[in-house]
Amino acid sequence: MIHVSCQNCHAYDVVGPGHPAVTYSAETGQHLLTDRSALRHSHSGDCEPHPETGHYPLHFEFMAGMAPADLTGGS
Amino acid sequence: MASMTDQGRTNTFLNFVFGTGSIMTITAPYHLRLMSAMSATGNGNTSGANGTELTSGNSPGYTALGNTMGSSPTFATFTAGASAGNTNAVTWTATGTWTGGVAGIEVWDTTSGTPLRWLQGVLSTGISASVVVNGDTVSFASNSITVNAGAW
Repeated sequence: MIHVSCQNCHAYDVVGPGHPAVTYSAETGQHLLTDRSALRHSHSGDCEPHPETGHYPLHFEFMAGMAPADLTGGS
Repeated sequence: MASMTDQGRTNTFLNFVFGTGSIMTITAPYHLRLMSAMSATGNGNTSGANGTELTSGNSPGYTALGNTMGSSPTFATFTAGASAGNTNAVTWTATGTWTGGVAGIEVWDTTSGTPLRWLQGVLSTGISASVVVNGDTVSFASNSITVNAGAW
């Protein structure tokens, strides 16, 4: 799970399996955040897109309480 | 992150304890590296092979060999039956589109000449190529990377 938030308005998604922004890769057995446009935002006020990219700057954070279930090893 | 120890490091420990090997020198701080792919065996552990690290070319704002995980202790105190998390947050700021994607992570020391990989793991939810763009930040919060001794 990844906590993805807008750097301006702080609207956020908790992204993981089942989220519309996520695709499962059978090849790698890994869920991937693939669709940025599927992230939810409720922009308001002075929330502006990045002047060069046109995107709203996002903060992708693997958070305490989320990442441990995210990270798998195995030998 | 159970079972994410680098087998090369585990073998060195075992040779030190049971054989004639000497213990390695470790130079802190540890660094967190972002990987676009892990080794062909899936997680890099079985073969001891490293994954494919992001580069400043395919992921502007990322620097080869990763970002420091901060001053000691790198992880909280390890105790039986429990996991310990990283002490400090590690963050990158993208200055262009990351075409490499983020599939996994590795933890390395900073031994001069030949840094050693200590931990590695696949992210069950990774970030695909070109999702991270200029102005974005990618961060691992304090206590987001957990390690335990239960399955080394």
